[in-house]
Amino acid sequence: MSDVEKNNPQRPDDNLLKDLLSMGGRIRRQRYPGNAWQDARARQSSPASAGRGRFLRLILPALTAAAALIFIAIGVSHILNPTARPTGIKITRTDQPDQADETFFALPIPSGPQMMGGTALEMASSSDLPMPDASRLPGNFTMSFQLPEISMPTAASAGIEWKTPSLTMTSFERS
Amino acid sequence: MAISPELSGRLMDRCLAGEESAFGELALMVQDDLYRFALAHGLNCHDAADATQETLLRAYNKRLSWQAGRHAPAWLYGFAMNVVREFRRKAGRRGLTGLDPAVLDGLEDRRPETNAGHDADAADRQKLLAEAIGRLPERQREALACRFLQGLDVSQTAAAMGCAEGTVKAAVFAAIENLRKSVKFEA
Repeated sequence: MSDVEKNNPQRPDDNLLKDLLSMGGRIRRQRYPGNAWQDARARQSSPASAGRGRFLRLILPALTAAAALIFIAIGVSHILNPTARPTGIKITRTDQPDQADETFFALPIPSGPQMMGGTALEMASSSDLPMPDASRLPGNFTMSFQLPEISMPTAASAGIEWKTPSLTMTSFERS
Repeated sequence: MAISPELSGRLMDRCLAGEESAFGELALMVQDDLYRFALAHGLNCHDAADATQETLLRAYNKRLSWQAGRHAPAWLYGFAMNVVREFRRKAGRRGLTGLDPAVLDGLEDRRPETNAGHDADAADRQKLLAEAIGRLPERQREALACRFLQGLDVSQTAAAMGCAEGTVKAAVFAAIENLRKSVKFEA
């Protein structure tokens, strides 16, 4: 009587037990076909195995490290610059739909705290930033300023005299 | 179990002393048992052969962790169990979870006397039983395979599974109860 028969709590004439032991008997008659140690050594030294080993040892950790660095860099940039910051103003005409997206002038906005107290146009007039070329602005336009967190009353109050001050200042360029 | 704890332990001692050929002798001695171990845990013949080789490689690479006086078969079955679990996970993705039908049908063992008296009913019953074993929870299936299909005793099964002997007994009992519920046999 086998060890499992002696220790199993079921009846020895149980068909389930008999079938399990029969299956075990079949499995215990199986033999490894050949010399497993030689096969293992051969497989270990095969070029395919070496290639896979090199990939796992070298390339995979490098890829993981690179992905981690990129992830950290994105995270740090989000921490340092949590909100999108406008870096320029586009002046576009909106009275004519077919020219709504035409950009006449792009004014870069300097970043930093000095932006809070003035306007983009003031900043432009008091610095080396390029000024709008008013001669390029045709027709009658309505000028308005839609910059979040930045007070931009009108072009006139900003000290710029427009020949055709009917523009809409709407969009922002992001860096 | 055919692996002799004393002989395999001495071979490991010699291997640790720098005699590399001793591990080759050990491998030759244990390869059939490791192969059967993999088959008992539901791997097909090809995966079982690969798992046997992988087990030997891992044991060799970890030979420095061998301590004189340890139970060598339990030490080897510990590696084998980990390898088998990995192979089963891969095989599970391919939809292979039960015992290999090739083994149950005796395709690898065509000696006439081994198939004598093996009637169609018994074959069908064992096929159903193999499928039911494949559906058992992992711990129950492993305990059942070690005890009934591989023929390990409780302490060796516990060492291979990395759990207490009481856990093995409870898992085997639960496995048999579950098999009784899922497969109805005539008395």
